Amino acid sequence: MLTSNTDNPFTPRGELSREQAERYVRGELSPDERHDVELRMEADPLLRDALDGLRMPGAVAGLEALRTVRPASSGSAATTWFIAGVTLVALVIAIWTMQGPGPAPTLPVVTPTTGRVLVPVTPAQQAEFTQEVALATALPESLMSAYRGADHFVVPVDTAEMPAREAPPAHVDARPAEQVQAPPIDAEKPKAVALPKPSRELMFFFDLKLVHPKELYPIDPVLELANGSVDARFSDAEAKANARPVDNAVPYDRFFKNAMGKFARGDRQGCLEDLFVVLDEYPEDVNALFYAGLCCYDLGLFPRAADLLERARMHEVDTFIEEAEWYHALAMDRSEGSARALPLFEAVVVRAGFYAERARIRLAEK
Amino acid sequence: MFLRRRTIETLSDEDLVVRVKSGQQSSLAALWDRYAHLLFGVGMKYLKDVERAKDLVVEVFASLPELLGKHEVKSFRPWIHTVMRNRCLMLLRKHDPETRMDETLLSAPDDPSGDAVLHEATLQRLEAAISGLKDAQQTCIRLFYLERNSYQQTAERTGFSVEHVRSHIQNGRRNLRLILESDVDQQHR
Repeated sequence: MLTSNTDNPFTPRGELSREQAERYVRGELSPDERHDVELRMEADPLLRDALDGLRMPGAVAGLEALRTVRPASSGSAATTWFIAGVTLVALVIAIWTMQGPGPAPTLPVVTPTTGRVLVPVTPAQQAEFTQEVALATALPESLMSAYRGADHFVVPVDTAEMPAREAPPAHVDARPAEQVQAPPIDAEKPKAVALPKPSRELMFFFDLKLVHPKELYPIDPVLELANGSVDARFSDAEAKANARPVDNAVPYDRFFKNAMGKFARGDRQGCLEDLFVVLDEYPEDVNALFYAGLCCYDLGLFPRAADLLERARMHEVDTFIEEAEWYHALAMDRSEGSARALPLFEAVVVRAGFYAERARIRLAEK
Repeated sequence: MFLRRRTIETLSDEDLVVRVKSGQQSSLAALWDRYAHLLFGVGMKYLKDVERAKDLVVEVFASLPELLGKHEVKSFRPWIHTVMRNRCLMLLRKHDPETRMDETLLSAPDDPSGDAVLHEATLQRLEAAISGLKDAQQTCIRLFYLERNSYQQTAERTGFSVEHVRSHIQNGRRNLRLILESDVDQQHR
């Protein structure tokens, strides 16, 4: 029989330190080390939930803030209050003495009660880190409908009736079954068309830019949901089951509106799941490739992000080329290291577009 | 100080719980060092908000001495996970009573104590049990556990998304336990 701590492939080995967990979330571990962490995640529901949560945007920065509220490590609560009181009295006496005549005495040294050694961070380092987090999680400006720099033929389809940003719904009611007004499904999927056009018709959902499907496909595409998927019309799988029979085909734009809603609300994981449904049926859909790449990047899945963004960058429909080049460079920097990313940042500078200045700063730092 | 910290660091969670109950602040700090970052991650997963997650971790630890006084905690790790998870769900419902939550968030986590059958099985029994799984689960379990591929590598080799890989691994693992447990039952008859 295998022993529980030797060669059983289901038994995790060693302990997982906080530093290792943070490095896992930041994508800094080797494949072997990643596997060790993931083996432990499979055996430990707390760790699984925790690392899922720590992958969310802003979570790693939030961890730093958490260090500052750690409870004191020495003595009971009463002792802690006593020490705090004595320290306060000593400070008041010292300040009072300094204001009087004679040489100013030195202030008493206050020993931190945490008993923890904190790594000092300079304001410059802090600012750099904050900027990096903001850049990684902020919505790219050129994706907003207000930005009209590179796209001189812009038809905002959805925002025409929706001048203000749509607030995310508090919840979705289960509605009775209704037949989807979708066009009949051809036996064969519509193939993507390559159109060498300088400008393309766009559509916007929640201020997010997408290429209009008529620029990509000869007929209106639809998404056929598998049984396991839940259509956006239903609040959950149960509501969907109660409403059968229904048509499983959802128009492309409606499906994307739901997915982009998730993206705009910061639900990258939910958006990514929807976009993988699109990519299953339309593997070269540039809208899905690009936004799935962004989701992966924000979720810390850097190799997958690099792959998707590379495909978006090289796509015949070049609407996202600037954004894809920049985020592809960032993802490569995280997954493959700066040596592989440098020429990509240089390419962004050469393009002299919206991200050129940021790329120049990156190159100067390398 | 140095010796004391080392002693505290080598204590089990359950020993620290006993000390927290007797009012030792240092033991509460030791539990914080072990669990605060994990609970913060749980908070982020459910609440998707840094400030709310941080506040909830502080709140849970502030109420810990009182909670431990009320409950008999045999195993601290799954207990504190459940406490944090329930607090998150309560907060979400309080914020919007009609919020419908993702089923994966509402379902109770697997009980890791049931994994003993997996850890104690021989490689031959595991191999035989894995063969009884559905194709997708079988492939993901083999690549992940036997060939030591990460989620990402498994996804790349199978063409599934990472989320699908994780789902197949979790379901496969659960089914594997059932198969092995039924084998044990049959042997005992």
